[in-house]
Amino acid sequence: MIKALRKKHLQVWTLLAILLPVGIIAAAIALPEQQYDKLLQPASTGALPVLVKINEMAGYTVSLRSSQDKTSWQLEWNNKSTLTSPSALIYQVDKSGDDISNALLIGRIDGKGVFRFGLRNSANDAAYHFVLYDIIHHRQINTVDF
Amino acid sequence: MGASYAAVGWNRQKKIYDWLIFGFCVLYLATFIVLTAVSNPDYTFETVLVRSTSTLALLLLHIILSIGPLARINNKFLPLLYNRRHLGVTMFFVGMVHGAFGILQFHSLGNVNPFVSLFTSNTHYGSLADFPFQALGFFALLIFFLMAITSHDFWLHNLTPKVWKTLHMFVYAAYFFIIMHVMLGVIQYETNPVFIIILAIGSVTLITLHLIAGTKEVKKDSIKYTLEKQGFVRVCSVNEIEEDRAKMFCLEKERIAVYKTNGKLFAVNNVCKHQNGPLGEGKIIDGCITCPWHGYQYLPQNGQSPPPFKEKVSTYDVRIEGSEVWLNPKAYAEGTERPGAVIVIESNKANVEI
Repeated sequence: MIKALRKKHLQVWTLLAILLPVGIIAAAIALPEQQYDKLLQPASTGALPVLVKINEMAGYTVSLRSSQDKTSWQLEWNNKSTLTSPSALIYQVDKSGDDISNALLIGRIDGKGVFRFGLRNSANDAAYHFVLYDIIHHRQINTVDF
Repeated sequence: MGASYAAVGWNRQKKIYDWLIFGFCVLYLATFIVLTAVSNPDYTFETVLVRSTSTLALLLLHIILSIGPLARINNKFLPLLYNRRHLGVTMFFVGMVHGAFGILQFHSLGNVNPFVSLFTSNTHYGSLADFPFQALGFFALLIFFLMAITSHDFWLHNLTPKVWKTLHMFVYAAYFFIIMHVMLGVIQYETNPVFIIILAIGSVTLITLHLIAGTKEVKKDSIKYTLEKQGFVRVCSVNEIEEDRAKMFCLEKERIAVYKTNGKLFAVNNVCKHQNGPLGEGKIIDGCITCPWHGYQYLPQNGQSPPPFKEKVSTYDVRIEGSEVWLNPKAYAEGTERPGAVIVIESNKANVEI
């Protein structure tokens, strides 16, 4: 190694000796208190005020929310543990037992945390049916009916 | 050596080195997959592949970055330095598998081009917890790609050593990107402090090794030689130089290697023409100064590579008075023949002539 390069290496590593610890400590401080995974979450929306229905399932809680005047509807999906399928899609189907071929794609969930998706209005509070689908392995993971 | 460009010149040492790398990678991946299957049987294979390749690439990167300073600190690590680029290319391929599966898993399910999605799905550049860490990984992989495709000597010659080395110095920026990619990515939700501690230990180890090696080298360069006479500087005594070995001295711009062989002292520029290896850390083999890094050779009396090779280094005048070695830091043109300094042992005194 030539002299100029030796000097440059020492300068670079002196700089890294400052930047690396600062970066690691800053990232450690930024760790969220609530463990959540929002890898590709769109900008999160607030929860609508009325909790219409709640469905407790193994590993996640699915809730149906609406505004006070029932003009806006929201699906709230709370993953309590990391999904075994890393990217699962939520489809809305017309009735329970339907497959996703004519379903409406609601959104995607990645891991632990709360996910909220807007829904179209429903004439009937209990008219929502959802399918949780593993797009990579092409298999239905679960269904949720309200 | 550089008579003509050739594809990888496989020799026994390279083959052993490469088989060891291959075996290590296979063993690591297999162990990781098995352990994950036992401890987290619900994980999909894609997730295991993403994580196993990421941790392997990170481990390889730490090994690669530690070889240089270790070889500076202790010569026993020099064999690892010889084919370090093979490790680097392997690390790139492993990282590429990780990146490819990551993009496939997280960005290829929508209407947007996956590479566009990589940069547009998360634009929270102002937030640490939500920082688009995947972009950091992408740029690091891009640097590794450029390094991998220019790792052959062909590029070293055609880009010129200065440009080539500048490009390859970007590995340090890539290392920083990777550490932040991990800290702002997976560590943000796999919050077990053990992972942070392991990462910190890796970084601290590398920083320590590089600072120790760098400080040691700078100290060598800082030694002042004050005795001067007729352009010659007194550097050491004859007995300090082993037979068929050299001692290096930094005078003015660059180090000079003074070799003792066949009863004479010769002085050549310390920098090998191949990849700037330290000629003074080599030895005389078959009458030639042999670079410890890749075996390039030079005749001590004129700094020329033996035919048919064409590399040349500068030569210098050296003389002995009593038992003291005096060196003239003024370099002759590369390949200039110089007679060297004859070591004459006479009643416990050494005399010289140039």
